[in-house]
Amino acid sequence: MKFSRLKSILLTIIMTSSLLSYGAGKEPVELRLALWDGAQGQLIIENCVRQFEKKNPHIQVRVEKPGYAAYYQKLLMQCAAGVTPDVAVLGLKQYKQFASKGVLTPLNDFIINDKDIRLDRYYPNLVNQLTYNGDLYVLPRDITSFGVIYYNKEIFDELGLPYPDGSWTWDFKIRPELKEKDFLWVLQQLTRYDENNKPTQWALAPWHYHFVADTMALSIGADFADDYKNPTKIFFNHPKIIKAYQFAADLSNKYGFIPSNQIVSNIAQTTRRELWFNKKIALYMSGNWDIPVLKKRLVKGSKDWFEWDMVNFPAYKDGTSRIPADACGYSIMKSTKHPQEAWELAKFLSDEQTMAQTARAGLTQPALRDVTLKHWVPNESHSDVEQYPKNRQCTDKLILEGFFEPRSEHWPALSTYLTDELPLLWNNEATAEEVLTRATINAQNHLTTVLEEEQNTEEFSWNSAILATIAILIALFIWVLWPEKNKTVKQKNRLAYLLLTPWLLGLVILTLGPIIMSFILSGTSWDMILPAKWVGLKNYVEAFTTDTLFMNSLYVSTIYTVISVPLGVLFSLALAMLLNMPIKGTKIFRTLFYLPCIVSSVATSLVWKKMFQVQGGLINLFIYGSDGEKNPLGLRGLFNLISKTDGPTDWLGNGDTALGALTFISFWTLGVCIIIFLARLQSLPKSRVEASILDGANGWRRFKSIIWPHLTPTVWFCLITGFIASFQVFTKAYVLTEGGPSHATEFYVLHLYKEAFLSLRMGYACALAWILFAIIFVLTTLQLKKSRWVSYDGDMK
Amino acid sequence: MQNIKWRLWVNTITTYALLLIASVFFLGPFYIMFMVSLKSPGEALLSASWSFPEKASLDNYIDLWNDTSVNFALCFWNSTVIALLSMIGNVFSSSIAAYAFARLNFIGRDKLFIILIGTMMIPSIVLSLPSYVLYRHLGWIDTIYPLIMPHMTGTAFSIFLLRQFFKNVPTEFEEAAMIDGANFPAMFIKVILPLTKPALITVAILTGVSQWRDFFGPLLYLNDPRKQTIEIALRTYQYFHYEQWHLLMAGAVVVMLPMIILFFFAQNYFIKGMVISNSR
Repeated sequence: MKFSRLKSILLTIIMTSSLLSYGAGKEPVELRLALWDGAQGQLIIENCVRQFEKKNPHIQVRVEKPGYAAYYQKLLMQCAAGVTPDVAVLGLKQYKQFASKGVLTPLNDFIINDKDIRLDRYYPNLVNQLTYNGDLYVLPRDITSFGVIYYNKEIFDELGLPYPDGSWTWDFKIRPELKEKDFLWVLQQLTRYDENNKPTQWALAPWHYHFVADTMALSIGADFADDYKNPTKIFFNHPKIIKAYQFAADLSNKYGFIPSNQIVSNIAQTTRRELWFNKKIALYMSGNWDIPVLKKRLVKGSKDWFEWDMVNFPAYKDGTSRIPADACGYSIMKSTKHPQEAWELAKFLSDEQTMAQTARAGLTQPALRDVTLKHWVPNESHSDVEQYPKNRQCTDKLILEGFFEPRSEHWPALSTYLTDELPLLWNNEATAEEVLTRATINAQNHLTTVLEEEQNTEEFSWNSAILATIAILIALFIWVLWPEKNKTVKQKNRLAYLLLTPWLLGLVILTLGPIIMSFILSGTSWDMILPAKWVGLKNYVEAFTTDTLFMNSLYVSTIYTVISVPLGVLFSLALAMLLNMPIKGTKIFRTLFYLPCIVSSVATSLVWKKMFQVQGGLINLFIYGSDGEKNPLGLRGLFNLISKTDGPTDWLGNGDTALGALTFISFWTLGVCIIIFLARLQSLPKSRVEASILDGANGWRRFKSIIWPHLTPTVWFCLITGFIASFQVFTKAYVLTEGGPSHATEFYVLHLYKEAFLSLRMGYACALAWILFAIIFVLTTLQLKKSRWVSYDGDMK
Repeated sequence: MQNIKWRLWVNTITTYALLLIASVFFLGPFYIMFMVSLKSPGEALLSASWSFPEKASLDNYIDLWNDTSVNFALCFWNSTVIALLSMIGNVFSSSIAAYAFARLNFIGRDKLFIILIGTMMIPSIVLSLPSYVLYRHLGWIDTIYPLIMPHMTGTAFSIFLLRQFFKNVPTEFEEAAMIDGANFPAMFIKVILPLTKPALITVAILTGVSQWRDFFGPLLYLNDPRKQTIEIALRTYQYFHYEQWHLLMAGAVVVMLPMIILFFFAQNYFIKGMVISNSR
């Protein structure tokens, strides 16, 4: 009763409000807004969205939250398909990839006609950084520096050290005479050892290892390219960068101030933060984005609580500080049907009131400098909880001195050539000079290729592509139905095509179109948004000539396939035979063997990393015992030989073992093959086995004469599909090693993926896909032809 | 006689020993997941991943249950719908297509079979974009069709798998049924399907599990938070809780459960399939 009354009241409210909005004479408008924020930030923004809807009753906003991981990939797809949201959050580093392709609305006209917006209120240089070819494309929202250090005050108290006030400096050596004003001296004080001189508490851990290295390199005046806007030369191997990177690596490997990847075991960047929470690390270097997390975990009065604050990363000894910074804001997509309403929404969400809300809560630092000083920097009007972290003032200085990331749309791809190589440096397996030289060659090579590609102007028309697709489809159709010699046509034709109808429909409508399209695209240069350009066979030529990673990736995939597929089939056959034994409990064993195949894909990366963890991982437990000193299975010597180390090693991070580790991981998911073999064994008529027993055949002969022939079609199936699938493996490498270290696990399709979605070279990626197709196709048809050992009971008739 | 009994006994022991060793290997990942999910945040981070929790507690599971930021129940339902439709559709479409490939002699059969195998050889990454555009023109963005239709029309993998099984069914069973006057559908349902039940169950399980675990499909094609699947919900949960792995592991264990149960009980049909093939 109560409920229905409530409902009717609600209904009336909704109806009157909608009537009112119609009364205002405005058409109802629906806007889509894409966000990447975390839980708390999103709550505040969604709240503001509701306020916005109240103020503009004719507008309805649908909030979409794809999360950060695949945000840009999804947006790219939506751009290509023309189904973008109306307003989307974009970051400084990525907006140019979109702006340069004309999918964003320039905001200048709105700003000129809008007296509420004053560009001089934003941090200097920021508006300039978000402007491309004279137009502003992103309405700034928040800003962050990468050089914030969060410190645990209790550790400073215990050691009798004064809290850092931000006036410290760093040098390439420890300067004891400067005491707490010298960064390295402080780091030395903060590192603690046990009686065996093993560190038990470390001084510093950065979110990403190269934060420290980059900051140091920039502060001593190094630059990563000749021109950040339009780079033509890459300087990753500049002597100053080499010096800074080597020094940053030494801080861990030589001085022991920073826990090495081996200790953190590199599960995720967040692990370092967790170590800080657990008082294993005194200083944690990160950005503003971590404040919400820290505040959520460090609640006054709870058992995890300790006094903490933030401070800026030190300047170089001469006082120079150039610390990378980043910003984001709202962009309006060009495809929107309601640009004015979209602008109103973007403006509302980045105005002073909204910014002040997130700023006071300590979630994000506003891009408007006056709002930062008024609401972000704590004053007496802030509540107790809002006071933390107290020294937010330091971020103002950091941003003013901040160095904004290079703006070229090629930069995201170029910088991965650097980050791919770095694990070797941090793990002390190579020197800075080696890795940076290699990174420079690869990045320069890539840059030259894309710059050459930009010169091409031959337009490519979509209509002709669609026509060509249809023509190829018809050709395929004719080829399939072309009468074959020596084959009598039977009346079973009609039944056969009837049975094939669902698959044929799927094939023609859903599958073949995209496949043929990818073939046509392999002859183009296409970034997925701008019109494609026809380049003919250039992509194929490039793969075999200038692409230095092509051969390497083909080699990696081939080795992986050759080892994992035959061994996998052998193991799964053996296990299936065991599971087929007439003993009790096979049901449970079957379920156990299949378990790793069900593990949720979100959790897999962590699970496999935990398996291979250096200290406390299951693999090293079996090889080296619980303390890394024992030899429980007697295999210690063998594994030492493989990893070229003595004792527990980082199997996934070691260039000699990473591919082997990934092959090993592939055996965990043998469950699929096992149940296929099991299904096969279960359909073996018992009568035949019994007959052979009566004949007196022993185990091996029985297997050879009865079981093996019965299994051959399935063995063959597993080999073929395994072969095809293992050439396409990439997710495991992507989440576990990102192709590293130094491309040791850069599988063919991972290379292809990077070309497609990092370098935005879809045309080239399609060419790579078709080269792979050609290779697999030839090898498979050879196997199909040469399969006389496969026997089918039904055919024998 | 004594000798045979003794040998049987040794065989059984060896089998169990080998199965146990393999179980240690296969149980590893799940063991770690489960252990981490029982640990407190600090312990999950600092202790060895294989160690037993000092104070095992279900707190992480309770947190998960009480969490309101993600609607797990709804996502669970969405995933179930997608998995079920795909399983049923795929088994139906694949089995009839596989029968045609295995048993019928029609024009273009071998060429179509080459095309079937060929469709598996193109990396899906380069197909994702043309597919996205295609689905958009079909009006399928933000619906479950892009996720289920490729399965409902039969996948190359399943058709290939079932073809291998159908080819092995002795033809006299079919001929006998046809002589008895059964038409094709009756023969197919009464003779072919029961004989290959283990294979059909396998296809159903593989389809269900792969749809349940699919992450990129729902991420790309679904926009509306109310339509999201359980894997996306888990990822959102992880994102909202700042990658606190002990919570994620609890979530992952819960998400795995339906699949474990499905697999455990689907096995019964393996056995049944065998019984029927013996009685024939």
